Amino acid sequence: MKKTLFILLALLALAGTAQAQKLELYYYKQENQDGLKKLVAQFVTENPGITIDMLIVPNDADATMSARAAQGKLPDILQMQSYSRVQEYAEKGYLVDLTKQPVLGKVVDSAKPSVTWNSKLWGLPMDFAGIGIIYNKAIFAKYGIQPPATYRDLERICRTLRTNGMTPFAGLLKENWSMGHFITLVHTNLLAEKSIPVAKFIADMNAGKTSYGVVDTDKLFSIIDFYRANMDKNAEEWNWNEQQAAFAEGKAAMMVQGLWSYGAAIGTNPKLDCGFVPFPVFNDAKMNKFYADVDSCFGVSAQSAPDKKVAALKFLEWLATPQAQKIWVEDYKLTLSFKGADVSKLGVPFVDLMTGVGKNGAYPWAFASYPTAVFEDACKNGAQQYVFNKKTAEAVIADIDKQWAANRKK
Amino acid sequence: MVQKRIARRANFILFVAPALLLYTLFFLLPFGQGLRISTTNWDGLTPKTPISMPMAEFESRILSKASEADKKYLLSVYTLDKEAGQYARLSISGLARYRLERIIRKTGYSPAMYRDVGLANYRAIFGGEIDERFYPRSYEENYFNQNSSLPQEIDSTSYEKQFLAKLGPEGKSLAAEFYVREGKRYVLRPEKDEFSVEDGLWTLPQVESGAIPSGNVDAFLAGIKKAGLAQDRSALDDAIAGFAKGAALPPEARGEIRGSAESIFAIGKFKSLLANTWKARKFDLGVIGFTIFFAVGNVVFANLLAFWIAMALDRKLKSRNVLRSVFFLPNVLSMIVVALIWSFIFFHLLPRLTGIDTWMSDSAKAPWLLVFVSVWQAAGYYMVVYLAGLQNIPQDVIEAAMIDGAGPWDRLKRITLPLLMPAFTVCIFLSIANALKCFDLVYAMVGPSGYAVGTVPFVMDIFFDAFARKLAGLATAKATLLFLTILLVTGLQLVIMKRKEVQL
Repeated sequence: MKKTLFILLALLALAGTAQAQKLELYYYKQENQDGLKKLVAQFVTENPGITIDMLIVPNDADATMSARAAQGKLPDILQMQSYSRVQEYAEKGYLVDLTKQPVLGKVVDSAKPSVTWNSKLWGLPMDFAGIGIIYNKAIFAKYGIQPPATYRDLERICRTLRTNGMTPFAGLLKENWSMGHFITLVHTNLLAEKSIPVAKFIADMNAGKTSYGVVDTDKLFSIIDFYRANMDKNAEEWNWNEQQAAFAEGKAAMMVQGLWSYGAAIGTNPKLDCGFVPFPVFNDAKMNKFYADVDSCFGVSAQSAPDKKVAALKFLEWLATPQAQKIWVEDYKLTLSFKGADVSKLGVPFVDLMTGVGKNGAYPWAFASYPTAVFEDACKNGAQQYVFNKKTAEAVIADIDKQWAANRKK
Repeated sequence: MVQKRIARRANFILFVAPALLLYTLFFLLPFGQGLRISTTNWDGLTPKTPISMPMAEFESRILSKASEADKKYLLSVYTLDKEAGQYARLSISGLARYRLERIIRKTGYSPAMYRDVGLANYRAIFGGEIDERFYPRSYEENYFNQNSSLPQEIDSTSYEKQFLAKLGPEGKSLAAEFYVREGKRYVLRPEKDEFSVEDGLWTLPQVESGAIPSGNVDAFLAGIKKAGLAQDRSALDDAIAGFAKGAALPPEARGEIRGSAESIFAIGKFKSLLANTWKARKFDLGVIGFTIFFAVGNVVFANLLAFWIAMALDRKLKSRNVLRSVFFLPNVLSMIVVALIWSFIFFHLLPRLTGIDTWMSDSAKAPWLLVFVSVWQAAGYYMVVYLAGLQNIPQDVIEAAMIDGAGPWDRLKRITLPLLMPAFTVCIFLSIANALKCFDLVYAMVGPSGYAVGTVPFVMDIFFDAFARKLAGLATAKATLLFLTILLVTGLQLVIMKRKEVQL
């Protein structure tokens, strides 16, 4: 009797441990980590056989992930930036093909290009992020300003703010990525002026048939100079913390940032009342759209053992359930790419983004399709050096072209 | 009782052999692998053995070229996914991976981004073919782009030195029409402000009602500005004629258009002068220059400061022990904490105290500030070494010298310094090696914007090469060169200084 009981217990324990999968989830978004942890905790509660260890590598994910990929030990679930990162990993064979997974049928079609390579889908698109002008409604109301619809409106707004002693833009020039985002934002807008589709531009650059300067570079750099001229005089000293602090405290009326910064600003000052508009590059209001695209996605590592892959796919499947979507929006505070997702709990700027995109469409994040080295070095550092007066406009364009040619996707 | 001497062979087996083994495993082998990678064009990400490959390509490029035994092994590692038409493998490690790599190498396959290129990386470094920011160079700083708007205010120092000073009398009188000096700045005259001039066009009733589309106004303004920069009068007249035709414009509107166009045309003349003249020839240290500057600065200042404090704290002071701890304290902090503290001081505290606003973003100041912070952190350690050295100098030698009538400077030069030579050797050796390898402090203080400010040490450049620019092969080549340089410099320094050491 005791023996059979003992054997039964042992079998049960074995079965339990045999089922217990230990997965590793890697994520790179530093903001709102508690939200993601809550999401994972909910999944683990609903699926007792699976535990998930979470790993974050915020700024230098590339270095760590490359090292782990080379060792063959990529985490089972990967949070990746869309487009270039996904394509890079898919090309090297690090990801599992998700095209036939049912959860991907629940994603809106416009989000699918961000995880596509070789006509297959390699990730589950998650949050839709936008870069534009986050503006302080209280300051705008104080000076009787309407949010800008055209470039001329923006020039007038900055003039009004400056004459009243308010800094128009909170700038962040100490870190190179803000100018990197900005130059690609204006460049992608200007591609539309010349009626060049983004995909065609990327393909031509990869084939060496065109130059980064195919757009109106005079306009491109004059807009960059305008942006710089309307920041604080010492914006070169400011890093991200100073930009958030200045905007949250009402020392600057606007900031050109992604909506993730809105979450940080409202954490500093919960009374902030903000709106979100696209950065108006044109004087024709119809051409000014949000610079928005799928920001991150989840992928499954091809190097994991088959049973871990099954567990990882189960996690991805679970992300589409209503309770997961609720936690994703309310706690992780990000938008979703699923059909019919509800983002009203996130705040006014997010609703501005989704309605704007729904009405007008959006410009895709072209920089996500640039070769990584071109965006990281030639665009970010080049634009920053231009603003620091170390490089001429022609040199910036020439260097982008040169680095693209050296890094052409083979 | 006399202990038995351990036999020579036992000595070798117990101590030397394990040490050699560890040295080989943890230094020589990785170094050898680094050397091997530096002769490739690796991008840091591509695996040496493919993780997945289309069926046809795998069979033609690899399977067909492998021997029978190797083929069997390959097929045991790679599984065929018939539906996708692909061969794929799971992750493998250790000896199995080396075996797989050897087999694949024998078939002659190598991925495009992990291919042997011989000494090409080294040739590129020495031949000046890599990124220009690596080498010291002189470049031109341009302060104004002629396609942008004139700044409302300009700081007087740069404007006067780099622009006004280069102008002849008519240039100066033209400049005076635009900018007026007010205190420490030059302010743009309101009538020369392009924004208000352009507003004249944008507020035309025909434009605001939409009768003239905004695209036309944009094109017109672009046309006049271009004409103004080139001072091309015929282009100006063409632009005005092109804009005014078509729409039924009353005479006031025509007058407004002509007036605005003429103003912008005149502004264009000054803009082109400003853009072409307001420049400065500056010198950028580059990665190599900054590394040498940083190393020399660190070695000199850290050792001088440490020696000076050690001499001061060698005397009998009541607060001696407390002071020794206080001066050593910065060394206890991690580099990241040091970077945070000083970034805070440079951004918040110093501008308020001194009225100078730019510290770390100023290319003239930033290298010196970084040396300062690094010396602040390191000096405490060398101070401890010097103190120990000073305390080893026997008092009776000094007293004998004093009796013989040697003054303090003589005592320092002829007794203290020679007897302190071993301490100097150690400290200078350590400070050279540490300064040349510096990364975490500069990365935490400036990060990637080091390229814009001109403060990128060698190791940070290697880091960005490997992970941002995806040139891991080149990065490893640079790392090998750095290793050889440090080896050479410190080796030379040790040999020279060991000769100068004096025994008592």
